[in-house]
Amino acid sequence: MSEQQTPANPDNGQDDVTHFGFRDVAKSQKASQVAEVFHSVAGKYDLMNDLMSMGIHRLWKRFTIELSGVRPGHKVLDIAGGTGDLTMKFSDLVGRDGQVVLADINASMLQVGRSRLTDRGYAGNIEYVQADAEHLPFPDNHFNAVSIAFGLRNVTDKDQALRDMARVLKPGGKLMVLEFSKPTNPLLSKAYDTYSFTALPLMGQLIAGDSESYKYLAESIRMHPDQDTLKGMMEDAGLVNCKYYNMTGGVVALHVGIKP
Amino acid sequence: MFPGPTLLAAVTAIIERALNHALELDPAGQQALLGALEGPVQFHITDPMPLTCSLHRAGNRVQVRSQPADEPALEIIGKPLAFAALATGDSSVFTDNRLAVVGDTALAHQFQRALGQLNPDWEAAMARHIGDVPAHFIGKRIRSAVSWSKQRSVP
Repeated sequence: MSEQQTPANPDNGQDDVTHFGFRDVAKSQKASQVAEVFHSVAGKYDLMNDLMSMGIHRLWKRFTIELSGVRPGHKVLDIAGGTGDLTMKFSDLVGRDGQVVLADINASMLQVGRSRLTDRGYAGNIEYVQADAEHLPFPDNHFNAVSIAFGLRNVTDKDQALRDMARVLKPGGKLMVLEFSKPTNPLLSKAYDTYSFTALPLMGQLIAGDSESYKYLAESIRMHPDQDTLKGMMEDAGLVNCKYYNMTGGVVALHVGIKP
Repeated sequence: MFPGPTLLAAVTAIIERALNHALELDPAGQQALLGALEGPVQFHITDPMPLTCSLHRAGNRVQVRSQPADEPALEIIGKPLAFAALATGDSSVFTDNRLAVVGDTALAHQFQRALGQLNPDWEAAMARHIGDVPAHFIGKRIRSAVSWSKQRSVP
C-alpha cells in the first residue's frame, strides 16, 4: 500500500470526513484506500490470517457457522466474503437446493476466493458478486442469513451498510457480524496492543512485503465501535434480539440480530 | 462464561473431525449414521455444567455445533460420562437410564448402533490438536471412568 497521505477536503464539513486507520480522510476516498490495502494483501491473505491469529480465526468462523442456524435450502449472503472461508461452510450446509452468494467489493479478493473454492470443488450453489455493502444489489427480504466477517470495520458508512443488510434479510432472518472488538481484560488489552502495533506490521513486511496494510489493520481495529456500540447500531438498523458473544477475551466479537 | 465460544468451537471441531474421519473409513457406518441424522440430534449435558450441542447432517458429512438445534428430531440428556460411553459403543446407556431420550426412541437406538459401528478414534483426533501424550492421558482417563460408570450402573 502506498504511503501517500490523503487529507480530507478542508472545505467539507465534519460529516464528509471519516477515519482510515488513525487518519482522517474524505468519505469519498476511504473505499479506494481500503481497496488498495486488499489488492495488496489478497495473495497472502489466508497465510497472514493463520499467522496473525495463530489459527484461531478458524475457530471464530466456526462458531459463527454454528450459530447461523443455516439449513438445507437456505439462501445465504456472505458479505466481504474474501477468500471464501464462510462461504465454503455455508455451501455445505445449504446443499444443492440452497444458494450462497459470496460478495466482496474488492475484485482481487473475489478472484482469490473464486479460484480457491473452484479448486476445492465448490460449484453449483455459489454465486460471486462484486458488491458494496452499503448498496447491496439484491431484492428486499431475500436471504435467510447474512454474514460479514472482518469486513464491517472497512465500510465507510456502517449504519447504511447495516440497514441494507437488514433490508435484504427475510423476516426472521439472521445477521451475523464477526469483527475485531475490544478486549474485556485490561492486561489482555495491553498485550494485544503491543502485539498489534509491533508484531503485525513486522509480519506483514516479512510475509506479504507490506507493513503499511497491517499497520492499517491494527489502527482500523482500534477505531471500530466497541461491543455495546455496535449492538446499538444493529438495533438502530431495525434488527431485534441483538446480542454479542465475546471470543478470546473480546479480541473478537460475534454480533447477532434478527429481522422482525 | 466458561467454556467460552472459542473453546467450544475447538471441542466441536475435534469431535467433528473424529466422526468424519471415521465415516470416510466406513461407508456402511456412514450411511447408517447419516440415515439417523435426517433431522438434527441434540445433546444436553447436565453436569457439572449445563451444555447443549447438536449434530447435523451436511451433505455426506456430519456437523457438530455447540448450539441448540432449531427443531431437533431427537434430544438426548445425561451426564458427560454417559455420553462418553455412548461414543465408545456402550449399548446399555439407554436401557439403564444413564441417558434420557426425548423424541423417537427407535431413532435413538438407530443412532447408538450407527455410532457403535463406526468406532471413531477419538484419541487420534484429540492428538492432532493437543499432542499424542496429553491425548493418550485424557483418553485413558475417560476409558477408565466410562468402565467404572458402567459397572456402577449395573444393579
